[in-house]
Amino acid sequence: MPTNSIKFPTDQGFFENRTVIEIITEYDFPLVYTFYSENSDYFLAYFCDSSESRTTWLFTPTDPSRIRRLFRNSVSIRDFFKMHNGSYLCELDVQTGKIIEKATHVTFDLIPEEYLPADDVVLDRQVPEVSVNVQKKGLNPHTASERLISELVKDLRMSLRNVMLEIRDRIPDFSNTNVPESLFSFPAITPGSLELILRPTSSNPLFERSIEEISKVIAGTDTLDNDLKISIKRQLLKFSPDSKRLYNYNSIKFTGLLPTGGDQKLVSMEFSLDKDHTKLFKQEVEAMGQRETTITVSGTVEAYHPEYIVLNLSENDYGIDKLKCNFDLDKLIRNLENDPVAQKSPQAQHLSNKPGKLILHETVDVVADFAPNSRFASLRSIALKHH
Amino acid sequence: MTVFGQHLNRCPPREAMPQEVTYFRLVKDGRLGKNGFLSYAELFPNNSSYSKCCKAHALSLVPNEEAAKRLVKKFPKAFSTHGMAKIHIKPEHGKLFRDKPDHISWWREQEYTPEIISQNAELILKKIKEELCQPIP
Repeated sequence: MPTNSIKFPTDQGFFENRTVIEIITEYDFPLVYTFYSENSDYFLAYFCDSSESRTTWLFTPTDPSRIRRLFRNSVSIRDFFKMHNGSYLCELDVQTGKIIEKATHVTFDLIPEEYLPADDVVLDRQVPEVSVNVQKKGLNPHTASERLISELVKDLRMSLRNVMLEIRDRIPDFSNTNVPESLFSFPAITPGSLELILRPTSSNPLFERSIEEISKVIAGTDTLDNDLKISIKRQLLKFSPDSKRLYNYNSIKFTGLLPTGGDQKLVSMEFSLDKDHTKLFKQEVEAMGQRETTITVSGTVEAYHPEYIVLNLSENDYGIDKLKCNFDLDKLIRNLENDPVAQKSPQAQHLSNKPGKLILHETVDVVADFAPNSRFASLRSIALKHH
Repeated sequence: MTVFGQHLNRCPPREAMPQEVTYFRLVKDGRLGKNGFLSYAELFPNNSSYSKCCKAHALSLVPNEEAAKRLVKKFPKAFSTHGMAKIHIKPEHGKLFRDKPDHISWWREQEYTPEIISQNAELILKKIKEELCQPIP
């Protein structure tokens, strides 16, 4: 009697057809990713090593909700392997990506120590950028929230200019330098969108040098007016890249490229809303919350699978609270049509009734409709896109 | 500008832009060999899954030394012999997209060959792993 086609992970061919769901870490190729096996079992793939001819991997059976919990709780990679009931050690042909031999089941104790990182290395997820477009029925796209952001940006520009002037007056090196009216351009808020785009104008030596001086001045001297110090602190400039560019009631963060001595430097800025602005903002939110809302999320989605979008956009990864998932799946499917490797996983069918697979780096628009009286969730927390 | 991967649909993604910027690349055995600057699609031209994948035509870069160290820390065996090269990229060298805070995809201009890149790159660290005794932010 012929055997049926059910395969186990240690069987030859079990891992041959992997449907990649999400790429978590990559460098030239995916290093940590989740996938469905042919049997629709869910795994996390972790890259261990490579040689001229083969790559070595750990495939750990898990489930999507567990993965999300792991990210939320910043679990170490070692603990991840410990808390699962074994993994499968596999070797893949580096040329073809095919499994060389059948997988070997290994418990944590049997994973070669050299493959494992230090105790404190966590399994983190770096969220890709998306922009969120908010439209309220009956309102001009230039909503009050956008006006508010414009106002804040204007304040920030003025404040920075004041800093420049102050520095010019107090630091001899800058005494002969002109302070331009526009230190760098913030193009207007895109109509119908809360996207902020920060673009540098031509190189501005005063600004470049001032950026470096600002922190020194704040930190070490009493030469600056105290109000100005507080203003600078409130509207602080941070120069380290920030993976979370979130917008909420109390602060705004955004990231952009600024010229610094010939290079462009990615800077992340944050400034807080003062009491008046917060009050105004809340009023605007409450007033608009009653209106029907359409939110369009767009950006480069690094996923092969519609499930990624549904799970990740709807479950707070972008801070969009309780997003109703009336996604425009037709639109998604249209993006899938050209993909010759369409998948037939039950998850994809459940979502769309049409099997599909997102092309890596596809840009998709996902539309979600909010019923009247729903929360104006987008204003609570919004991911800003940077260029 | 003719960049690698542009024969594919919507590749590079529209977010990818020419930039003048300095980024870093991990190089095997701390050497600036030309093979260290080839994309997967170039390394394995006969693999159709690479040739059809937009990202396989891009070269990975990291934004700073800390990101490189984080990568080595996370994959200690795989990157045990890697060094770090600093690359100054000009707008005419291709299109870049920072798809994650710690990762940049670089679709190279086709005439900006690995040989030229390796000549222009600067090896700043022969073995990243040896630097990992310092705490990484």
